[in-house]
Amino acid sequence: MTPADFLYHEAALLDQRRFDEWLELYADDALYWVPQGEDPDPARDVSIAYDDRRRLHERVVRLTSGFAYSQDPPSRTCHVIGNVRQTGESDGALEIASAQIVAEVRRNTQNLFAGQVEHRLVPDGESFRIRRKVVRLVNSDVPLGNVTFLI
Amino acid sequence: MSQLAPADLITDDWRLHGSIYTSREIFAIEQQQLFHDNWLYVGHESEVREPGDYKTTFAGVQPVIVARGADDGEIRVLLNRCRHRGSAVCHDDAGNANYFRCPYHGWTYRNSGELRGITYDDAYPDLDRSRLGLVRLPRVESYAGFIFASFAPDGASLEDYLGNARKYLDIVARQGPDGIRLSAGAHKLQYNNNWKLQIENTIDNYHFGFVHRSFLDVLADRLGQAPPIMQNVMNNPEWRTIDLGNGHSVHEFGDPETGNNQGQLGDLPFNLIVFPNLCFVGAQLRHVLPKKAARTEVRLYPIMHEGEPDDANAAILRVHEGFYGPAGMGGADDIEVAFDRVGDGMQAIEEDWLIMSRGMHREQPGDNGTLIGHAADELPQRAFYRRWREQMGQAA
Repeated sequence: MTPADFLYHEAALLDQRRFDEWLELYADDALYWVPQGEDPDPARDVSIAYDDRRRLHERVVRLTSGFAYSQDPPSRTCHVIGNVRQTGESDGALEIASAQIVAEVRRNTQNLFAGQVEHRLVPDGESFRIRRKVVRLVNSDVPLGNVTFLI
Repeated sequence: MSQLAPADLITDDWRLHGSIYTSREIFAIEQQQLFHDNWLYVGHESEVREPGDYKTTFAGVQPVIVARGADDGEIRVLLNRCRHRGSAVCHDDAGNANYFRCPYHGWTYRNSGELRGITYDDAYPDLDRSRLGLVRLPRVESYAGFIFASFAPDGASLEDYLGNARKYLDIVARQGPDGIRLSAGAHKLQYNNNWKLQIENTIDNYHFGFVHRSFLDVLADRLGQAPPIMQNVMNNPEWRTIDLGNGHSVHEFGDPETGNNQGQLGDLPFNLIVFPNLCFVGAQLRHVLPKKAARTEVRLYPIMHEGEPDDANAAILRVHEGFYGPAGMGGADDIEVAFDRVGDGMQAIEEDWLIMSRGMHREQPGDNGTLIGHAADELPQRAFYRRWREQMGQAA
């Protein structure tokens, strides 16, 4: 599987809301970061999300609980991934950059979330596991509503 | 709007008329009666620490610049509007500047507000520039580092206005060993409903087990057992609501110095409402910005502790992000249910009254004119609307 194919696979799992399978793509030491603003420091600046594997698991617990009202009904999403390129490699992990547009529909409204995405992928057999994913939304610092679907 | 006068939109048995939330006329009257003469929160001193520092925010719907004078260090609150043709003169959330220059025709103001320069000014032979500075709010005062301003030149002092809420602001200001700072930025939220719904919801413990059922499931997963928060809300006599007077209210999680909600939402020992639109909850200062009757923006400023290392403050951020903000596992459910679905339901106006009387039969008088109620009673909401009715009832 190429890194690009892997990113498309992750996007498909999200769009199909196969959250348990999606979570399995993440390494135990994974970081999932959606920063807010330009060039923020997660130790000093508030983030939209800064999740370790434990919190990713909790998000899936919540989304599948049947009581997550902000996802009841769930967002319908379409992740479109493009501009995929490798930007580095260290300790066997590949640094993959991409651009992403997510169309999201809920409450009779369609929202668009575009951003630059970084994946750190660790080879795992024929596939990869994600050690780090950063989603830099272009609208991260404008007033937002409900971004509780997984981006 | 209903034909009722504002003061009649709340009955003595605590029913509230829906037009309190939906009427554009009521919204306009609120801007005169609530967001003009009252002391309005505009910022924290840590946001404008150095001479020349400024932030932009809103006093009611009006855009303002909170600026520390480059020359004298005095904090001023200025309307963000050029005196010439009305353009906003400052567009950044925060920064440092000695001057604000209007982009439209180049008029320039000192950061104290004084008009410094008119471009090609020979065409204005009679203008008195000394009267054409950025409009200053006549009163600006700080309490415990929190900056408030009023459009009224006279009135109660800030200390008197805050009254019984001062003690709680003092406690917030002492959260860090060397004080606090609002240096982490703010989550910015928006929703299409009335600003008062956010105030009510901030200090409503009755909803927690229902709206946040999925977060309780998360906590049960995290802790390995059901979290104690709803037990405390319903049964712990140390958890209580207090009407502090002047529209302010608090929900204490036990001792206001050391209490903890144990709900893993942040470590403030209470939720606090400072009338009309400042809240403290979790580990955050929450500034509620009315935009229209059915449009609100909310800014959530995580409270960073001065004198603690980055990793301790980072831990505060991580707890905050877990529940609050646009992707938080709790706050978004409030937007969904308490604002959006309330908006859906309140389109049904044939019977347009809401009920806000929970626990009114068991309110107990406390010290200094306070009223004390059970944790899940609607006492804080009544505290807010008692003041709302009083001030709205004075509308001409």
